[in-house]
Amino acid sequence: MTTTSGEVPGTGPGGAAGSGNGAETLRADTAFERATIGLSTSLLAVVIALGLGAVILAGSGENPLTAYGAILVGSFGDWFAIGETLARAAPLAVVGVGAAVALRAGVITIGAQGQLIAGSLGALCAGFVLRDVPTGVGVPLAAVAGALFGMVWVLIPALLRAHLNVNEILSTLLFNEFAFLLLAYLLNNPLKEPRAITPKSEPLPDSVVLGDLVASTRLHAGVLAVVLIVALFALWTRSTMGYRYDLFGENPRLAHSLGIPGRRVICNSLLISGALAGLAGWLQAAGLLQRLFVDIAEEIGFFGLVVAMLGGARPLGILAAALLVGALQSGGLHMQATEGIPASLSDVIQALILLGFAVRYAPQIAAIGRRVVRSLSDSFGAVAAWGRTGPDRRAPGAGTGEHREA
Amino acid sequence: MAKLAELTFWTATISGGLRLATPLILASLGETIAQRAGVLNIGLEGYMIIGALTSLYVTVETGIALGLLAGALAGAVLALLMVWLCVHLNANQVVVGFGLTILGVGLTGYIFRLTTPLGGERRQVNILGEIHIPGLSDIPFLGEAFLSNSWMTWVALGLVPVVWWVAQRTVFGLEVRAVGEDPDAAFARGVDVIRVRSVATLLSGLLGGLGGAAITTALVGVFEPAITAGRGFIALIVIIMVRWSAWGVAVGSFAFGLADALGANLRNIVSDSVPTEALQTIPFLVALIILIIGARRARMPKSLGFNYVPDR
Repeated sequence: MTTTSGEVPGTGPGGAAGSGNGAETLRADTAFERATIGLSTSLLAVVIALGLGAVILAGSGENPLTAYGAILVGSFGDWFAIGETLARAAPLAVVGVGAAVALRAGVITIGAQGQLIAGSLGALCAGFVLRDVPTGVGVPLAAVAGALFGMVWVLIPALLRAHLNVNEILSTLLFNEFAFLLLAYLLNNPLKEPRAITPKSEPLPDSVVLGDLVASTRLHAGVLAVVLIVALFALWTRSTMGYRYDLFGENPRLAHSLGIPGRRVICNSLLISGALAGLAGWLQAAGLLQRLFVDIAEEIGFFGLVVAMLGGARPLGILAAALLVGALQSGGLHMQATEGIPASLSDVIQALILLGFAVRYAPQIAAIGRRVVRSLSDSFGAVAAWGRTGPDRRAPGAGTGEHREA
Repeated sequence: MAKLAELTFWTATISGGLRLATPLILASLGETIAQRAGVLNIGLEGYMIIGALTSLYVTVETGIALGLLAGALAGAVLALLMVWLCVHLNANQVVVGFGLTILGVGLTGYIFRLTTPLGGERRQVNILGEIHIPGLSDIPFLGEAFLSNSWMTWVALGLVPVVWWVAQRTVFGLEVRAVGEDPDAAFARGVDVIRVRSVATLLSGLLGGLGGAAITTALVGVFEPAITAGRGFIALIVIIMVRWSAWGVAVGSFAFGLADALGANLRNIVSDSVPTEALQTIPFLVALIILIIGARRARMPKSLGFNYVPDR
């Protein structure tokens, strides 16, 4: 009974396939070892990023403990803080799922920012039309409008990518600018609330607004939709269709010879990501803010991509990453308000975590991680036994000499 | 609208276009070298913004020369991170580039906010004036439009033939192109792929940082968060359009700078009849058209975006 076959050691997000050269790769990792390596290197990346953040803080004359304390209080300190973290994590997770669908198909889109703006406009339009319908009708229709507007906003880049091979990273980036300028124009002119000093729309009508989930927080009912979306994404990754898209992302040539239509995969994955970014815009407009502001998208589109990358384009990973990024952002704002330390520090920490994640599957690093994990799991053979199958694996105390031809 | 027919409008637009093209030329030249070597630098925006802040702050304390040097070096420091993570540790280039952009924007935002209290005074420098070249700058229209630039613009334009010469006429340039096309074959011929890619990426960091420095010290005179405004990504578009050619970079950057200046100058004329937001889309529309046209003819370096993993 061999369980070693068919397991690919150390494949990571972004396709950094680390097939390593060390002797320890002669035996493929067990599921337990892979999970341990993945979890411990992720945690290590976060710890290193926080450590470097502390160095920056100390270097600029701030007390790292005060700063991190404020971030912790501002993200999980009380019910309001938890509500803020969840309300921030929600659109990040939705954008992240969309970006992940595209990433898995080998398509990178930075256009969520613009599609999110389009989606929020969709929710607002739905609000105009559905002023007098019951909430049970208005809310879902507004969500559909948000998703449709997001899809429309990615349609041209998707067609350009699929048929004219126009780089989707750059074209979606330009469409972000168009969306932002369109929103700025609309909020300064036809959609502007009369007598308002700063440009903003009138409030969305009650028929499309998502109610509060917990009193005296900004946590709205849209968060429930996020759970649904992530669950659907989990189904997607296990479906035949999802498998085809993954296959195309990993090896377009093989996918082609198996009859998987590349253009359609590229186009559809971009449209799905656009619809989800549009839904994130709906969450912002109908849930959190209940009106449109010029900066309604903040930087959710970009950090949604970060969330997808950090989460390894997998459902649970995305949820965890969205919570982490949401917590860092709400905590960062709290830190800025109470300690006067710029919230940009959160961005720096997130960037450092992302860089750490980018290399955690690098062959050299993965080899070190594997060696450590294996020597640990050898010494704690009994603990590790549940993760291994087959009696031929137990060679207690053998260190890394436990190699076996795969 | 009558102003559109006036010559002064066009001399101002063209000279403004050259000024706005300056940071783009510098950044795109560096990126061209890196991409030719097979390293896709999405992090260019990060190099530029960190160069912009560093050069301004150093210029305020010391002088323009040290400021520009510091800006270039700051870009190179970020590029060093890229070299280590991507070229040596084989991390995904797009993920790292994206991370470096966020890092650059976040770090400069942090430093700027920390050093500039709300309502406090921003650090600022006098932007570089135009050099008057006796004779040439006096030529009607042409002299005023094309030949009255600040020396930063002349430096950027002067680097164009240098980069072309290095890429096409030196051994290093040949090695760069070889490792970008086929690193395995280059390795077989005895080229140190890792070293060549490292040097090329560092050069793109230096030039990207210098491009950012050109924004604050030669163009605007101040720093504000997100001042690079996506120019790092525009540079990527320019490179695709001109098919990784140094001379093309100058032309493509000028085209974009011209669209930028045109949008800005039209604002003074037609702001009553056309919304300013519509005018602001002009440079991005031009970039989109350029991107579409460029994609049809693009033949990118074959191994662009793929890391080189020896003995595999």
